[in-house]
Amino acid sequence: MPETVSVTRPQRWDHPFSFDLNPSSPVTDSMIDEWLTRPPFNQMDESGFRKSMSLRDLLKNDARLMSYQAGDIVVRRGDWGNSAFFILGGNVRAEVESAGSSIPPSMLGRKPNRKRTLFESIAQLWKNPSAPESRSRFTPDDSRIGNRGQGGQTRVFLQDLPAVLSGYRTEAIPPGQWFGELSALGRTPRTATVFAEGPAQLLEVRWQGLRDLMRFDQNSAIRTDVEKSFRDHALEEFLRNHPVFQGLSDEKLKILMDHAEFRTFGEYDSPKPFKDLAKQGFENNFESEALILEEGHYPNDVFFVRSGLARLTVKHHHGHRTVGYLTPGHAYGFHEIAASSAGESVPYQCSVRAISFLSGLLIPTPVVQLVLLAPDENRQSTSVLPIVPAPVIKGDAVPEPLLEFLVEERFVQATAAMVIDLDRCVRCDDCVRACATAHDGNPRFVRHGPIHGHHMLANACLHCVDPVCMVECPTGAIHREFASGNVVISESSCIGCAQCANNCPYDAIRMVQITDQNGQLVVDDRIGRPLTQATKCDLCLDQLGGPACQNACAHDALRRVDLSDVQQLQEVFAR
Amino acid sequence: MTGPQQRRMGWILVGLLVATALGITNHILTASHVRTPYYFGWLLLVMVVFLAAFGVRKKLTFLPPTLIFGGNAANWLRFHIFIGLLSAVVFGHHTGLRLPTGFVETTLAALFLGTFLSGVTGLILSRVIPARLTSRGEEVLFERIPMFRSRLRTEVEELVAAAAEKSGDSALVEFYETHLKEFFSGPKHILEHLIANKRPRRRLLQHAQNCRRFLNEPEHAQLDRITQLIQMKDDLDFHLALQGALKMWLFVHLPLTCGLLIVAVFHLLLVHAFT
Ligand code: HEM
Repeated sequence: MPETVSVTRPQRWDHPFSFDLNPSSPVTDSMIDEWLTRPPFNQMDESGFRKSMSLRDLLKNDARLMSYQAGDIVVRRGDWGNSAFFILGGNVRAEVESAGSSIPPSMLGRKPNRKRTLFESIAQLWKNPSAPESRSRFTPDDSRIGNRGQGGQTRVFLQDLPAVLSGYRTEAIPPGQWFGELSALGRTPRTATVFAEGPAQLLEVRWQGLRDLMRFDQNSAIRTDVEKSFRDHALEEFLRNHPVFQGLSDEKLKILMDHAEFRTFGEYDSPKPFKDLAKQGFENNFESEALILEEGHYPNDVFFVRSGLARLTVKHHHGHRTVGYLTPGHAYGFHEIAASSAGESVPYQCSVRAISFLSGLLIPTPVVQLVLLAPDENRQSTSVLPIVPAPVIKGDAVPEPLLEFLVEERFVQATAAMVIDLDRCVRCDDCVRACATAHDGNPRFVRHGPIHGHHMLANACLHCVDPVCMVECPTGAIHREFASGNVVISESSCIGCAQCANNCPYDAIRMVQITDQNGQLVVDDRIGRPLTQATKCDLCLDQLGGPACQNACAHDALRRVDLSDVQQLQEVFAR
Repeated sequence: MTGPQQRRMGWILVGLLVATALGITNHILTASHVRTPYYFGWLLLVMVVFLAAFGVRKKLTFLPPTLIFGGNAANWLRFHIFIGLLSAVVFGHHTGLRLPTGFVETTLAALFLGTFLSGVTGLILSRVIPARLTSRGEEVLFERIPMFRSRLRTEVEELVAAAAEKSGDSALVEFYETHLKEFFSGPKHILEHLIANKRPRRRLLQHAQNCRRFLNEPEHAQLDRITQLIQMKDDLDFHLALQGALKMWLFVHLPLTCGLLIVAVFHLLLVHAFT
């Protein structure tokens, strides 16, 4: 009999939000009393809240008080946050996007995006330090920023605030306003950098808390504002950027914006339970996946994924088979609605289920027919279908158990999974050596990982569509590189808090003790312990030749695969 | 025919065409009394230098694929095999398939043939072994095999000692001393694993089965675990043998390449000095 592992499913409030940061400064009753005297909290109708989850409970467990000094960066454009901020008092400013002059990535603590020259590439052969994890600098690359505080409470601050205020377009956000709520609820990147202009007190609420404040408050004190803000900003941006809506007149876009419904499905309290569940096995999870569209039902809506993952299933005897999956940008339901418009009555061919947390848009059928399928002189009505190919994997292109494995283990959210075909791999480890050469002598992965059939998914960073590792990085050191979209860590801003390594469900981030150029362990003088940093695959961002592991594989066994691209998936796994 | 098969057929066809062209060239040159061995010698040297350059290129993984001598390692290996096989044809034309005379020529011919044959052997091994490795035992890193082996050995020794102490009987100890001690002491049956001979494994499992009759009920459970450990150790040996073979052949191919290059240059100097 297989051994079973029993874990206690983590409870939502095992760790109040304030404990995450500093267990010694919890949210107190007097703080809550004070918050409840101001809008929007004093405008809320508490009767809708459950007894076990009162308004006070929510604030106590899902909120924390954050104090900032002048210059402190609160959130950075591109950060992955799962919390929203409410300004209790003080001066806070947001950078306003303006063509040509935005705060440079280095000032946000990010890795300078520079490729090595040919000579620097070759010089790696003799210049790579002999000591492991050797670093030459321990302060941010950009002298215009500095760090204060420790661990998760570290704040990155702008040294020359007046220069930022005069050099870039910024806008004050007055007390009493929310920011960051849309990216928290939708699990999308922050769209603007926000910093404190003077001392400021913010209430940070994690997304589950915000969702429940919106859900249970009978007066909709927050909901109305958030929904308006979503329609005004996020929805329009999504529609304008998605290829399906290109060329639509403003009038038609307006119809879409008026009728599209933004929804979130499933729970995603923290990636940590997922990590536990991954160890436990996913057998029981299928039933708990939220059903979004149901096979056999009349197609009422087209569903677009904004963030998260969904699986497509069809009924098979007494169970369900996975036949495909949706990642951000994918849509489901067009083909059924198009067929129905052509006179046939075609129900949904598959069910769509949210795998853990998912946010997306539902667009009602009449609107799809009117706006997207009806003739339009600027567009060809039929052109919509090729843009949204049904993400169902045809025939035997990928064996079903393999597909099931990739979906269950969430590998489908990889944009650069390291897939090793073990029937070709001669176990020479040239890939590991090449990786080490490209990273100052330190390999950034181990040739080891889950195996299905003859394919190994090695423990190298997947560069996920939804990078949970980026959630809550206090200095923004782990970030998506703008041009390539790769998830990278800036060595000069990583403070070694291990937040990202704990969040990564795939164990692809390793904490290492760092040494100076003489090979001596570097010790943090404030806490007297060796300094650690997070390390992981960066897809050889600064190398001229791209991923060294793939280039080094003489037997074509190792590939970096974008699994959100069904085409690539079929090509690699059908070999 | 699938994509990769089509590509392979393409390489074979081009190879055959080039080999035929080389044969015709040889015929024409010989008929017109040109010093054929001289030109084929130079061609062979260029080919060997190109083949040896693969070793250098393998270290330069960071070069952009667009750069000359860039390209990824997989493309290099395709060319390596192609040119490597053709080099035998050129070698044939160069020597006229006559037996070499003299020390330098004999050494050179032996080095070439050694490098060539080790290359072909390596190619076959690297096409056959990976799938065999995947089909059996857990995937394990070569360097960690000794560590896992010693863990298994410790476990089996502790198990046997504990069982003997509990039951006060020495049946399991005797079984261990007679059949397992040697087996768990280090890598075993390497050759058998290479030729896919499972007889030693079956024999050990058979001994374990025979031993069962002499054990009491609680000892049966221990024997079951020991049987598992035998299989795990055998799988480790299997991985050691096969992964070892995948590494070892390069230790032949590479030094022969170095020898070949040195003696070839010496041969070239001699030829130029005496003509
Ligand atoms: C006759 C002249 C040849 C020379 C001088 C030569 C040289 C080399 C060198 C220097 C390497 C790189 C070793 C390393 O650094 O890892 C290599 C690898 C290799 N050669 Fe050859 N080779 C020759 C012929 C052949 C032939 C005829 C074949 C097969 C038909 C062949 C197949 C291979 C293979 C499969 C590899 C290993 C690739 C890998 O796993 O990384 N070679 N050879």
